[in-house]
Amino acid sequence: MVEDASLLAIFLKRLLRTFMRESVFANCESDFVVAAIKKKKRLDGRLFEELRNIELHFGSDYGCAYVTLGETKVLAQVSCELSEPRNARKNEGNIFVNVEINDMVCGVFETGHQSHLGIHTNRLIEKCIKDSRCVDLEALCIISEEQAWEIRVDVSVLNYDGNLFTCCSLAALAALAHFRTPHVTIENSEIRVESIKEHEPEPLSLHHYPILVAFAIFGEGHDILLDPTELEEKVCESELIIGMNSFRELCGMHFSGRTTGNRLLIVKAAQQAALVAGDLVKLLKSKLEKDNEERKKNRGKTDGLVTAIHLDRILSASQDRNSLRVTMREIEESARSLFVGHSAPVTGKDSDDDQDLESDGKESENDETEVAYSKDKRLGIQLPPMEKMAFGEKWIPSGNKNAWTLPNATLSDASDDEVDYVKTITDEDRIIDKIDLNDSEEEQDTVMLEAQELK
Amino acid sequence: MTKQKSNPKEVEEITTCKVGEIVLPGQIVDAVGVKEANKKNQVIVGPGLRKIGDRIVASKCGVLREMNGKIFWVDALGKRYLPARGEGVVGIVTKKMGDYFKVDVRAADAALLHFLAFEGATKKNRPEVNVGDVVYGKMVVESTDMEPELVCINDEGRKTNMGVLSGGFVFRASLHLVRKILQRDCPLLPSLGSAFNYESAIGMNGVIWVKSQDPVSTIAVSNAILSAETMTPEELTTFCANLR
Repeated sequence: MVEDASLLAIFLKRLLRTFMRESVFANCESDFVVAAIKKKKRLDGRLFEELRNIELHFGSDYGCAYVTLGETKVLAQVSCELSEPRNARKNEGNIFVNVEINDMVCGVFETGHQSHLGIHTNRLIEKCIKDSRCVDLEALCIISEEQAWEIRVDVSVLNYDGNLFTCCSLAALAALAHFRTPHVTIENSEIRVESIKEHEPEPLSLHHYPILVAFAIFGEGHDILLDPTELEEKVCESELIIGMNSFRELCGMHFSGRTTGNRLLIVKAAQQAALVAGDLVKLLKSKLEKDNEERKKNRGKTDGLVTAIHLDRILSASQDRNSLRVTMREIEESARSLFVGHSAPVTGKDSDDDQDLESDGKESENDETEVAYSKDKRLGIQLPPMEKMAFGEKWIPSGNKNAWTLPNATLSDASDDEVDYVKTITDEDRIIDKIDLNDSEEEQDTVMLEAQELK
Repeated sequence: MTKQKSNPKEVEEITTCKVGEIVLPGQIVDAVGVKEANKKNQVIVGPGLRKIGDRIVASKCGVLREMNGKIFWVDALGKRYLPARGEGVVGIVTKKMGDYFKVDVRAADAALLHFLAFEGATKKNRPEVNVGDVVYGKMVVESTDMEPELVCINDEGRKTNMGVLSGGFVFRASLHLVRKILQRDCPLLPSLGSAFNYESAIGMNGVIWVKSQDPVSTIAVSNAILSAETMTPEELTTFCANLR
């Protein structure tokens, strides 16, 4: 009895401590998030079904992938070694997934043992990648019952701002898709592993590309938020994580929290997940191709993660320091692009807004840099040269976009990946419209709020 | 800040750095102003500068700044708050410990807030403060190595604007942004005030509390404050002119 009581006390203490560490958020913050979501607003100005800015870069070594999703940053590295296959499956190799969350990432995480979130993410990724059998394990076998490749995926979280699941699973998958095992020759049942320099290594064979897509659910299942931030994850009623591949096949699902699940909610989320997964896989494949081409040109060498550095920003690795974003222009634009196929928004907007409709719809498919710039254009801000500094000479600006570069320079940057994501919304909603899930009210609402703000 | 007497002999240096230039950690700082100050024989060395031996060496990467030719410091981007006496901060109550509340002020240590440090509080009449509440108060720091203390009353026992903040929204900004918008000649807050109805508490620790009648304008205000971080002064003035 005494032992039980002391165990209980230890348990409670630990529980209390974890609780203490996590409650750095104020009550008013969570209340505010809930109130804003009731009004169909997210703090960072995204639509409910919008991903944050996503980036994917491959390292100079095979099997290294770096993914950033907003401010969540993850690095995955795949390695392999020869080992004996398991007794149960003698002609198959093996795959391990390990997610590491260092306590440097965020004050909430503790050193030493793996945190709850770490285990959770680890298990979900395992479910998604290992249990969906996307890697051809039989191809990893070299000699049955004797030697097989053992693949290890190490995912290290570098920064945490919600939605580790999508970020980690994309990184793990990208690393696997990028990885190559060294060539192996067998002479008289003796295995020789060739050096990568001497013999071209062989890529793993992947049957399909499964990706985890996370949702936060609010308002008793009415509001489904794609890609929640840390705050949204903390506040939400329940979390729904769906593993999906580009063929719209379900590869794992996790639903926890206090919302009563209903069919409509799951179906709606799954539809979105399928679209997001499709787009992410498209991004992954295009990046992989680019990397391949570059390696072909430069004899197997690339610049690696140097490409992840942004020269147009003062903090080169940071995407956007403003956790709260100007909602006006961006939402307006994306809302408009949604309405391209529909009737014009019915709110108290003046006529020239409607005329802009077509052209703006195209514009919204651009990269964020451009949106940010056009925002400035709208406010009539002239970007000043660096020398002219009157007031506040004592301050150096910092943070997201470097305002000092010329507008042309920023525009030329607008090339790759993000383009897809803004598109996602349009496609998504068209398809969702086809299934007749009435979600058009969301966008109309946002437009209305815009009109108020635009004053 | 450490007061120190500097040695006039030290000035024959290889590297020269002017006020307003970028200094790197380890760089020996001997700006023109430092030399001039040497005549008066006294310099005040602020954050980011350190006296090592006879020399003043930068300990942070940033821009060298000066005030009245006497005070020198390095202006760097920062997020981690170092408590300083008398600064107004916004904190979040994380724990109740007997007579004290523990308040997270984004510093290395949580600050302590005594329950009697509220206006009109007595042993019988305890103030109502709960875990998760947002508090605006003043820092009382005896030594940088000790746990800082927070109070919500001034010397006369009045609360002025301090105390528990109810409702609204809290967000974190960098320390230099806070210092920037609290500058006397910064046009941001006055023009925001003419554009929106809102209340705000801006803590020197980089925590900002904003409250207005609906979430949309709260987001708009918070947004405007956050986006001021990257603006050049001219952009800021145009931005503010647009707000009105």
